[in-house]
Amino acid sequence: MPLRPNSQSGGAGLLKLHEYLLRRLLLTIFVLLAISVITFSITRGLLPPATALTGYLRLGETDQTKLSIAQAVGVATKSCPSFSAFLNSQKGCVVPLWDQYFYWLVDVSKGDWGYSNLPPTAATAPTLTIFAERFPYTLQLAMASAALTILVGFFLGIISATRANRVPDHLSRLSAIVGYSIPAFWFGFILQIAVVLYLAVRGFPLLPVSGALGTGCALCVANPGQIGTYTTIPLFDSLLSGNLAYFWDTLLAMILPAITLSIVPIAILSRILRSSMIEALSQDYILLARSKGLRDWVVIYRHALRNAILPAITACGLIFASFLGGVVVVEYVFTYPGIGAAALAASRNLDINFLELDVLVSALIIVVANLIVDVLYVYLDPRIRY
Amino acid sequence: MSQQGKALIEVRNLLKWFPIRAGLLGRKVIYVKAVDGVSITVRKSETLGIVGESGSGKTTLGLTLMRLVSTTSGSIIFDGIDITHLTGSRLKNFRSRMQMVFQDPYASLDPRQTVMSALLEVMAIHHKFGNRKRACEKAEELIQIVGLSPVHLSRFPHELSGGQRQRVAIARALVLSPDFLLLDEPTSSLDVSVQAQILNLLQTLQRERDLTYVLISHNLAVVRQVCHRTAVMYLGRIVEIADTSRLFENPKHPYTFALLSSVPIPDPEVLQKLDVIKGDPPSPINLPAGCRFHLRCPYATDRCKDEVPLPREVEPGHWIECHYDLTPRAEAPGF
Amino acid sequence: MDLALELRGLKVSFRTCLGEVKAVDGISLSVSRGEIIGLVGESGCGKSVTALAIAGLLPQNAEVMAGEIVIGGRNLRKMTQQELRLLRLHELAMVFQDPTTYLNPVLTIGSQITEILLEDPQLFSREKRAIRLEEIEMEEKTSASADLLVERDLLRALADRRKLSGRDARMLAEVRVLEVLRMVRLPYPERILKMYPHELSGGMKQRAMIAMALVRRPTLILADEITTALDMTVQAQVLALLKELKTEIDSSIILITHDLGVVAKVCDRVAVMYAGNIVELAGVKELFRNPLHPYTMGLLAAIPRADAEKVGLRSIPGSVPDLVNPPSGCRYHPRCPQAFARCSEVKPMLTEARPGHWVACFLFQEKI
Repeated sequence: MPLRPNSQSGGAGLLKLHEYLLRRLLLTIFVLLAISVITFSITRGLLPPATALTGYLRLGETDQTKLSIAQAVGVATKSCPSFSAFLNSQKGCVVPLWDQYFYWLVDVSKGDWGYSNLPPTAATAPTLTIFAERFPYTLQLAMASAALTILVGFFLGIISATRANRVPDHLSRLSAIVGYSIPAFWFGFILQIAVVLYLAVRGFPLLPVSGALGTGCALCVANPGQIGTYTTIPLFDSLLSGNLAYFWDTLLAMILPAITLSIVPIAILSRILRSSMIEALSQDYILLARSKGLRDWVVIYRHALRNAILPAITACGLIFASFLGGVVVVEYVFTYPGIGAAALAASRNLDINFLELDVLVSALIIVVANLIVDVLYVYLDPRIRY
Repeated sequence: MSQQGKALIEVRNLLKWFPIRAGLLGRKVIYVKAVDGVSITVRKSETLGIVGESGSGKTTLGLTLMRLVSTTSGSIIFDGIDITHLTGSRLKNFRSRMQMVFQDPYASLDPRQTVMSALLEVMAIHHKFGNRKRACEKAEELIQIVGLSPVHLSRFPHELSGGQRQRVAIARALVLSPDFLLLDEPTSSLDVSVQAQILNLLQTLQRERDLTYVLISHNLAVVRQVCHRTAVMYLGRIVEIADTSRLFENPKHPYTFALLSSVPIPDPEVLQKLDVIKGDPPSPINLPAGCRFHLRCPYATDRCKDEVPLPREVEPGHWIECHYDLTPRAEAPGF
Repeated sequence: MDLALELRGLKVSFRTCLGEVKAVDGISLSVSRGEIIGLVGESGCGKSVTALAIAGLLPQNAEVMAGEIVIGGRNLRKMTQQELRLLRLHELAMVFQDPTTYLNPVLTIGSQITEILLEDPQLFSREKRAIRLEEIEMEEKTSASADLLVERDLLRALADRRKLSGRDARMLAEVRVLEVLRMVRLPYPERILKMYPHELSGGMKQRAMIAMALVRRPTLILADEITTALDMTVQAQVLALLKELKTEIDSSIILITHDLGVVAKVCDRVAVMYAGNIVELAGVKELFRNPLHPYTMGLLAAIPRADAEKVGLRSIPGSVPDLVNPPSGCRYHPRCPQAFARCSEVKPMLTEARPGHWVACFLFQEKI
C-alpha cells in the first residue's frame, strides 16, 4: 500500500516557503510605500508649504538663508527668486507635492533622510544619524521589557489555566484587570516617587529613576567607565567590552521603565494564554495523554502548551513590535533617550524628516514582526500551509 | 420491488467542482471534483439510496440536487422543468416541492425557536395558511402525523430527545406538502432503537403521501431496508446502480463488493472476509487517470489505467462503470 | 493471574445542576486474560463512563460512589493518583473514538508513542534491559523479525551501560515503536515516525492509536467506539486487525460499541448494558442464538441487516430513561413488553439462566 501524504487538508503545501516570503516581501514594499505617501501628504500636503519649514527655521535668519533651507527641505524650487515669493505661493516657486515626494524617494533610497532639528545636536544633523543614535536604547529597553513580559505573562497565564476558578486564578485575573486599567504614565510616576521618596538608602533612591545609565542610585556603581562600540547597543557593548559595572548600571536604569512598559502587555498576554490553555486542556488529546500515564507537567507543557502557544505568539509579536516602535509615554516619563521621546519632541518641533523616518521604521517593524510570527506559526503548527 | 413510475427528477451529467487557489499570485487553481459527472433518474414514489464513503461526493450531490449550492455544469430537471439555473422567487416556488431532512437534529433546529414557531416560519416564508388559526391547526395536524403530540409544539429543541427532534425535522419538511424529500443521513446520529422508529415513520409517510425519497447514507443495512434502488458513489461518480436486492445479492462492481463485504453482520455464525480492499477512501483532489478505482481494484488491468469506463447496462435496470463483467468474490476465508 | 479485570458492584454518579445522574448503577464483570469482551449499549447506557472509571480518568464532576475495580489483585479505588498513573503507563491502555481529535496535532506520531516508553526511566534500567534481551533471544528461536534482531543488537551494544543517555534511550524506544507500528500493519513505519497526524488518513491514525496502546504490552485495553468514526471499509480493516492481533498479544480488550455487527465479528463474550446496568452477559454465539433479556431481543429486532431484508423493523417504544430519576426496580420495565408487578419494585440481579449466560431479569429467576 503506497504511502501518500494526506492531500485532504486542502492540498498540503500549496505555496513553497520562498514563494510565500516573496509574496509577503512584495506586500511589505507596497505597505511601506502607501504609508509613506500618507505620511508625506499629511506633513507636507495638508498644510501650507511654509508650515513644513517651521521646524527648521530659526529666528533672525535672513530671507536668503530661509530660502536655501526651504530649498534644502525640498519645498521651494531652485528657481524661486525670493523667500517672500515662496510664502505667497508664487507660481513656479513651490515644488508640487508629487515632485517633492519623488525627490524625497530618490534621496531616501540613497540613505539621505534630510536633516533633523532635534536636540541635543545642532540644527543640521542628518536625521538618519540621530535616529541611529537613539534607536539602540529603545531596542534594549524593548528586549528587557519583552523578556519580562514573556516570563511573567506566561507564568501567570499557565497558573491561571491550570488552577482555573480557584484562588491563584482569581488573583491572577484580578491583577490582569488592574494591569490594563492602569495608565502607563501614572504608574511610571508612582514608581519614580516610590523609589525616590520611600525606597531610598542613605539619601539615594534605590534604583535610577531617569536616563539610560544609572550612576546616582543606591545600588549603582558611581563611575562605570567607558565601553567600546560593537553593536551600538549599550547593554551588549558593555558585556563585549568586559565592563560589568557599566552593564550593571545600564540594567538598573531599565528596571523601572521596563516594569512600567510591561504592566499592560503582561495583563494581555496572561489573559490570552489563560484562555488558550484552558481551551487546549479541554481537548480530547489531553485525555489520551493522561491515559498514557504521563506525568501532569508533561501533559501541561508538552501537550497543552504547545497548542496553546500559538495565539500567544501572535500577541507577543505585536507586543514586541509596539515596544520597538518606541513607547513615547514611558520614555518621556523616565527621560529615556530612545526614539519614542525623540518622536514626541519631533512632533512638537515639527521635525517632519524625523517623523517620516520614525513612522516608516515603526511600520516596517510591525510588518516584519507579523511576518516572523507567521513563519514561526508554520514551524509550530505543522498543519498550517500557505 | 422496482417501480415503473415516471421520472420525477432527472440529473444529466452533473458536475460540482470546488476551486482552490494556489501559486504565487493565487492564479493556479486546483479543483476538488466533488461530483464529477453524475447522471441519474429518480422515479416517482420510489426511495433511491445513495451510498458511499468520505470523498465519494454523496452529500455534495444531495446539496446540489436541492439547489442549495450552484452547479458547475450539467442539468437538474424536476418534473419536466429545468431548475439548474433558477434563482430568486422561481426557485422558491420549487422549494415547496422539494424539502430536506438533515443528519444532525441538534444542529438543524434553531435552539431559540419552539417547535410551533419553526413550523409556522416555513408557512410564513411561503405565504401559506395566511390565517393564523388555520396555520396552528395545520401544525397540530403535522405534529401528530409524525408521532408526537400537540404538547410538544410549545417545547424547545433542547427539551426533546434526538428521535423527537428528528420527527420535528420531518414535520417541518412536510409543511408545504412536498413531492420530494432529500434525506441526508437521517438516522446516523440516532440510537438503533430510535432509528427503527424513524425509518418506519418515513416508510409510512411515503405510502400515505406518495412521497419520493432520496436517502443518502453510509449505513448499508439501513439502505437495504428502505430503498427500492441503490446507487454506489466513488470519487464523484456513480459506479453502480441497481434495484436494491439485485445490488446486494449480485454486486458487479469491485468497489460495491468491497463496500458490502465491509459491513459486519450481527451474527457470529456467518463468516465474513471484511477487509476486502486496502487503503483509505481517497480525496477528490488528484483523481487518478483512467478508471478512478483502478489503484485499489484487485482486478485492475492496463486498460483500467488508461481508459475511463463508461456506464453500461449489464442487466435491465442494473448499470455499472467498469470495463469488465465481473462477479467479485473474497479470496481468503473470513471470520 | 487468570483475570485481567474484575468489577464488583461499580457505581458512578455525576453531579449536575439537574441533580445526581446515576450513570452506572452497580455493575459486576470479570474479564479473563486474552479475551475480547464487548460492552454494548445505546447512548447514555454508561459504557464509556465505565471505561473512564476503570482508568481513573473520570471528569471532575463524576465520582465512583461504590464498588471495586481490581486489576492484577490490586484494588484501584484504594490507589493514589500516582499509582493510578503508573498503572496507566504499564498495564492499562485506552483507545478512543476519533483519531483526529485524540491525537495531538503539533507532535509527530513517533514522539507521541516514544514518550510513553521514555516516561518511565526504570524501563531502560540495566535489569529490565537484560530481561528483555533474554526474552528476545528466546523468541529468536521461533520467529526472528527484523525489528527484534535490531533491538537485540542494540541491547547487546548497550549492555554494559548502567544508565542510558537520553539519545540511547530514544534509539531503543524508537526500535520498539517501529515494532509495534509494524504490528498494526502500518506501511513505511520509519516515515510515519516523523509524520504529523494530519498527514495520515483516518485509518492510519486509528492504527497509530492502537499502536500507542500496544507498545506497553498492557494487561487490559479499553477500546471506546474505536471504529465508529471510520469509514466502512476502514472499519473493516481495523476489525480484521483486531482479530489478527488477538493471536499475537495476550492483552484483554474491552470493546465498547453500539454496533452489534462489530461485536458479532470480533468479541468472545458480550455484555449488554442498559441505563447503567448490565442486563445480559454471555458468549457471543450464545447471545445471538438465544437472546434472553427483552432489551437484547428488542435491539436485535430493531437493527436492519445488510445481508437480508427484514419484513418491517420492530422498534422499541419509548426512549432511554432519565438517569436523575430512573425508573424504580428494573430500569427497563417501562418499555418492556413482558414486565410484571415485581419489575417495578425490585431491581433484578444478574443470575446464570443458562451455563455461562447471565441475565438480569425476573423472567429467568426462581421465585423467592
